[in-house]
Amino acid sequence: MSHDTDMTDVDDAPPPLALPFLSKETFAVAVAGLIAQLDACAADLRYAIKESPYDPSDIYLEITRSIDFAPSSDTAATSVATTDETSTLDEDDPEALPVQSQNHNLVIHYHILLSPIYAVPTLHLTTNPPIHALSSFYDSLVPPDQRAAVAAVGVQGGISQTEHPYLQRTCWFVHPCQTAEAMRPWVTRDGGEGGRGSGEVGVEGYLGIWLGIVGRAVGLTVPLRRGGQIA
Amino acid sequence: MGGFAGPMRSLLASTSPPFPPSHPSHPIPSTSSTSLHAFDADHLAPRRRPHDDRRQVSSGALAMSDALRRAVWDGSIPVRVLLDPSECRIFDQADAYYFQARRVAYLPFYLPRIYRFFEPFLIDKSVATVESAWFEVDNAPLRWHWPVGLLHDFYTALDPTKTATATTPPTNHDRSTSPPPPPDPEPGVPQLPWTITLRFASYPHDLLTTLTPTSTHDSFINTVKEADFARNGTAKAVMSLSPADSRRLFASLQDHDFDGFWGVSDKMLKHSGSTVRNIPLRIYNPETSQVIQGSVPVRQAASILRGGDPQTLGGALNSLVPMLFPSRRSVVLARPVMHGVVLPLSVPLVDLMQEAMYPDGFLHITLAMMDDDNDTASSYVRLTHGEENAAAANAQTPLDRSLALDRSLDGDADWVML
Repeated sequence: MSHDTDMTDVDDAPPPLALPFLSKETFAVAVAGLIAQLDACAADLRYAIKESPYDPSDIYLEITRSIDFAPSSDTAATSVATTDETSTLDEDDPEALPVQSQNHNLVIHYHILLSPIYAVPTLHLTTNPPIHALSSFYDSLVPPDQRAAVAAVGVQGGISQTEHPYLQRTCWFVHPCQTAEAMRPWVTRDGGEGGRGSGEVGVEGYLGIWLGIVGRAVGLTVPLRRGGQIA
Repeated sequence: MGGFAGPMRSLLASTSPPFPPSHPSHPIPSTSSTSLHAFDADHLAPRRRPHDDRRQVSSGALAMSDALRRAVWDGSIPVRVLLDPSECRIFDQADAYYFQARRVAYLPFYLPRIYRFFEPFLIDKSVATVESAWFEVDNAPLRWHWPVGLLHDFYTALDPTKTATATTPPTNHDRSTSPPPPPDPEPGVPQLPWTITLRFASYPHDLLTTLTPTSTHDSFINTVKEADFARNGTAKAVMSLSPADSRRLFASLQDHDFDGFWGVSDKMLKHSGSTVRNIPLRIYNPETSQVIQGSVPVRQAASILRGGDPQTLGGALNSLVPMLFPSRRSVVLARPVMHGVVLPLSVPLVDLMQEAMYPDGFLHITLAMMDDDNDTASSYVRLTHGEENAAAANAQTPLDRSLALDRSLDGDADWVML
């Protein structure tokens, strides 16, 4: 599946999108901003900028992590929780850690891409070995303190399987329909809620905040020096 | 008769009664998929519509729109399900299961009864469970989350301008006298009933989402939200639905309850806090498997200063797939197909959405590639400005002239076929 047609392509471009919404161009700036933060704070993180096979101007950021997990759900939950609380990514790097004999290594490919309809970043992910069941996904990837909130959204929670917009294969994704409202207080001056919306984060800092809100729900937390973590 | 004098009126005129109810185990006479043949380009007079024409629709037009929606709602496809031989305990194979599939429905709606039919034939019911079932056609797994009508039109590369042919299902009693198998069907010619295969082993997880009791509802609602956001720029309309309405939206689709579904869906389409700004559509190319998603403004940008002419399907296709739709007015290389009929390029997108959208809110349009005996598809030449008139003068066929004319009228068709 390709969702590679930006709505701004049709006829004359509409007025520029204002934050919290991103256009193709501002998304590219946001990705560059995140990479700058990653390079400064998480040098060992594996990431790559990739292009849609349908339209090279549609880029996405792939972040790859691996965690130890045990097939039994209880152990898996503990393992992810431990991973989630580590302060540096060095400890998550499978190449730096011997794999415990009873555990398995789960490689997770996170894809941060722009939804052409919602005009916000969306998080798609695939795993190796693949996870097919929603309950296994929760056990392996959703931190315990996030599960109730994630499960409370929509028909079966805020995480679903879908087709990858660019790769013609199934993947998991976090629903983007509430992303704009979650981001608004952080990136706009009139964001409300006691003046949290200073607007200082800007496009460059957008994805750092976004990771703290959306990435956190599926275990993608990155320690960033400023603005990347939400207590 | 206001804005509905064109394609919508002719559509209504030829709407035929719904298909007979499904009748498992009995071959169904071959029929066309839906009866919306009246999207007929001959009837399409150019239409100028006032700025906010939707508010001026008369009650007669509303009744007509209801008839169109009902025709779309009742469109169906005769389907034959075969059990994959590797799953069957009987050497001579199980009987086929026949049913009439609603185009707006999803395959999981029919799975329980199909499973019950084949249950006695399964080798090991503990392995071949309803949870592990999947369908395929021509080695392609059929997506659970696409409407049946889209699956059919996409995987048959349906071209409604070609005549349907009936296939005679083989039986165990007439093998010795059976005619030789027919030659490979011509692409785009519907073979009815549509034959799909039920399988259990080797679930293709890479290509097919996992089917659960909630997954179809979940993906449907996600698509409804996406369509709503595309239309309005907010998700206020869908979020404003009561929990009861949200449940009814999907339950009424499962129950094939037209009034129940449109009672809720119209609350979204006519939500007071939002105006329809864009039309969500997806264009499926069966030859490349590419899907292009678009969100197209309801008004043509070039005409906003003079009130905003409605964007037409041809304009949208020309914008989204210019290589296949070099003209806004004439089909050249591909025909747009939805609900089993060819759509006219002149139909305003907003009308098409209101009357003929799939229940998930999208226009799911497949492309039927046109026969191209002269292989002119590969001989596109971009014209420089000074060459246009020469091209028009040299045009040998009405199509060429139409294209050249289109170029000079629109100033936006960059590609002309020589």
